Amino acid sequence: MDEFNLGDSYSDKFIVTEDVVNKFADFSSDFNPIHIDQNFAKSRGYSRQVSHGVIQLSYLSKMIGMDFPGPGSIWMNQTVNWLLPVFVEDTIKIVLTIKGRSSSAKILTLSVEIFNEDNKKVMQGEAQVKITKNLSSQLNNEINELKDLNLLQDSKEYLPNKSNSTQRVALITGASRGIGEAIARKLSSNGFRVVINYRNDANSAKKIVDSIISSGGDAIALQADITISSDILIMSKKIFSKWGRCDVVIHSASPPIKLIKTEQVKYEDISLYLNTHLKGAVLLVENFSKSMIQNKFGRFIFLGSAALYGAPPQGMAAYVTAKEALWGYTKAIATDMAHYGITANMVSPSLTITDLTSEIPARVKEVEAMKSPVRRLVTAEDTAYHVAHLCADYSGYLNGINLPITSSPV
Amino acid sequence: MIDDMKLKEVISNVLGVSIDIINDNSSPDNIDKWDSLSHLNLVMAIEAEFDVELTPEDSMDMLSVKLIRMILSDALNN
Repeated sequence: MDEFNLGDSYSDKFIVTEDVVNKFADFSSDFNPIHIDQNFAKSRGYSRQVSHGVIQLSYLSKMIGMDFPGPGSIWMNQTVNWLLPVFVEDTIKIVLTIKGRSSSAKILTLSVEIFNEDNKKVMQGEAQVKITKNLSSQLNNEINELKDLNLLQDSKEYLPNKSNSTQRVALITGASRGIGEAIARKLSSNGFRVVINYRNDANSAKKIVDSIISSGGDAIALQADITISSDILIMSKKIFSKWGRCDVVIHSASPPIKLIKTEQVKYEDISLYLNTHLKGAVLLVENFSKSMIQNKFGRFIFLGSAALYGAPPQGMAAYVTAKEALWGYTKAIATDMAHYGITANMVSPSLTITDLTSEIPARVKEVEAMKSPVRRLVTAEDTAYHVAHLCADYSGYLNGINLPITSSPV
Repeated sequence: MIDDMKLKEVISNVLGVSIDIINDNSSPDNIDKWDSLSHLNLVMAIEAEFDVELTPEDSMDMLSVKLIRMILSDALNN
């Protein structure tokens, strides 16, 4: 709608040939001899056959539907005042000018003027045209992009990010190890440029960056404490100055899980997790959503926990409370930002063997594995695979979910 | 340390399967006779044989021979 302004105009020329007139007579059964019989026309005082007036409207229909405003337009109303006859083989010029526009109703009012070869006005009228909105525009664009690349035919070679001419950039917090690392590697293999965020372990982060670059990917490591506002601001500036964008933010950083009896939990125990999970998420959204809104594309993915489903395991009050708070925030982003093309989701794996869970006894892990219907623990790679799916351009309709990576119904 | 042979003998006797097929990965998934009823018999036999008291949670978590050994050694060490 914004591309149409008052006073804008568009014109086109058409020749009303004898062939057109005869075809119209066939089609409409309007064989009035004044249209098709030259002698008859002469007998009524006209030099040649007078073309059907509605033929002009047919050309007008073509202009409205194909050119101005163009495909998708609905022609709602038309006044017609024919001023002079248009003869067979005359060239006519149809001029459309925007006389009124309503952004709220998405309706344009067009003046319609038709001139003959002598520049005399043969018709004067007014049209009302509604601009329809593509209700599935994003999806169509995605499908077209995929078709362009023949990706729909070969799902094995389906590299979601390659469908976009701009290389997408993903920031992964807590990516120097565990699930974060697996996600970074997976996204890199899917064609993303990745930012490996870490807090302490510069060595591991650098190793991951080196390994990604040596396998043909693009990655940088950036130190930032996710709970410190200025750290995130500086990190975001570095990303924007290096790559000019950040399309995907995955928040997987977390303090290690400590089992504490619920009656012994202090607020400080909870705030340790809240700071990283929730405050970190809020700071990330604060610093990265503006550019996503501009680009009309964004993905926020927060690591949750299978402990959010049903009764939580014993001793995890602090951790579960913080993750539950993060889930509330995820739902709010999903609801409020989706119209910008930004989705927000949570991914909740069950117990995964990483540094994060090193304090959980081996026996608990073994029981967890045997209780899983597939009889094994989830791996970081399992989770990374599904996170990558949520990051893809084609996943725009998957929004506000907490995806269980649990191998069982939740 | 748990006497591995002793554990296998208990399992073999209670479940009525050859001792040769019992290993760490043995579980109700691969021993048909290891059903919920024989599981209770198994837990009681282990308690008697190793002179140890197990909790209902221990019993529920004994989902494989490997887990039985882990749980048993926890119980014996406490």
